Amino acid sequence: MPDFRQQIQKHFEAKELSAAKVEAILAKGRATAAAGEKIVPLHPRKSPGRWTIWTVAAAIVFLAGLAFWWRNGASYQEFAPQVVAFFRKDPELPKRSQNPEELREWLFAQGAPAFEIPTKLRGLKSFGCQVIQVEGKPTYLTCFWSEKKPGVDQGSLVHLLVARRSDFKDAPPSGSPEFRELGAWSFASWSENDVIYTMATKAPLEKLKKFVENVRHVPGNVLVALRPV
Amino acid sequence: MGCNQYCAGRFILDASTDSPTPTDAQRLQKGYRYALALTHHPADAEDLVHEAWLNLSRRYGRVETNAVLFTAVRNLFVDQCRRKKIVQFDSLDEPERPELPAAAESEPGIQGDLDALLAILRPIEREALFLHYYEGRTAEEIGQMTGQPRGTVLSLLHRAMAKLRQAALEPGGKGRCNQWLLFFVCSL
Repeated sequence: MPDFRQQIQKHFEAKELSAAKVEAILAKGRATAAAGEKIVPLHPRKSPGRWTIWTVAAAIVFLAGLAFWWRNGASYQEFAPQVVAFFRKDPELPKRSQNPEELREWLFAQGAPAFEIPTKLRGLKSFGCQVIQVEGKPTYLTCFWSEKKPGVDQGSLVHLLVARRSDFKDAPPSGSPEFRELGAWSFASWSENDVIYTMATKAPLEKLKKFVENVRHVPGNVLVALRPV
Repeated sequence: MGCNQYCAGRFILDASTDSPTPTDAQRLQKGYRYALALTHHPADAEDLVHEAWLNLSRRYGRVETNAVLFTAVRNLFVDQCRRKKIVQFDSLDEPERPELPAAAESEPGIQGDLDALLAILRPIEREALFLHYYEGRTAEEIGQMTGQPRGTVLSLLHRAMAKLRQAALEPGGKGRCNQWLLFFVCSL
């Protein structure tokens, strides 16, 4: 009597793949083994942090440079003390002329930016000009004689200082002049395109303001008097 | 319980348990029978063992042992089960049965109807029957192969046998048993 184990064995022994199928599978297996596993080499994985590190480093360098430039860059605020210092001794004016246009041409020859003489100053006689270094950046000075008022004053010098805006880390506003006093001197600074203008005179601030306003009498917009025609 | 119970299976028995160096053809036939025990479908079993054989050849250059082939077949079968989302919910929470071999020797002879009877079993039960009665593995070894406790393997075997007995008793059931089967069923 066959037992269950024998029945199971008999059952499974009877099941088999056909010889052709076996040969086909073995042949395919041999071919596959010969071909080997197709291993696709992975590109070395770039560390995701590498770009971040470089970006942060670049940002740090940039910010450090910016901070360095900011701390060491020249400010237009230095114009005032520089002018005061310049006139403290007898100023040396290499070019002297009563024609403002002649002085302007001379300054252009020295590398001055394309500036215009403000309307207010055009009617005055010029005296002379010079290039003054402010923190290593050139500024271009022109001196004018203000009108003499008989019985009031004997006339005085009014100075115009121009500089390239890009040479300085900051600039005065372009909408209206910024007034400032330093000792006996008064200053009015403004920006026009890429040029910083500073008007200076050894007089009280009120006088400079009046001087600026008197030309066209445009209350509240003194800059009109300063703008070139 | 479902196909997940297959997934951790590793045939960790060493090669010495294989019969003395079978040829590749013999090994392939064994793998096919094992696949048949799992699927109970000749075409599926053929595909299964074919794919497993090619995978092993591609990866290792050859199929070294039956155990390796069985593992590959089993893992592929598990993958297919998962893909098809075949899940079976039969519980194995039964008290552990005594050792099998003594009872197995007295199992009824079933002639000709075994294929139909095996169809009513779950793959995991057919696998246990195959490994125990055909491959001659003990419950301990089967447990190591399939990553199941020995008690679970014993339960599987007992349950499989119980199902076969019950099917054999059913008039007009799946198992159309012969005289010998009826005699032994009545005497159990």
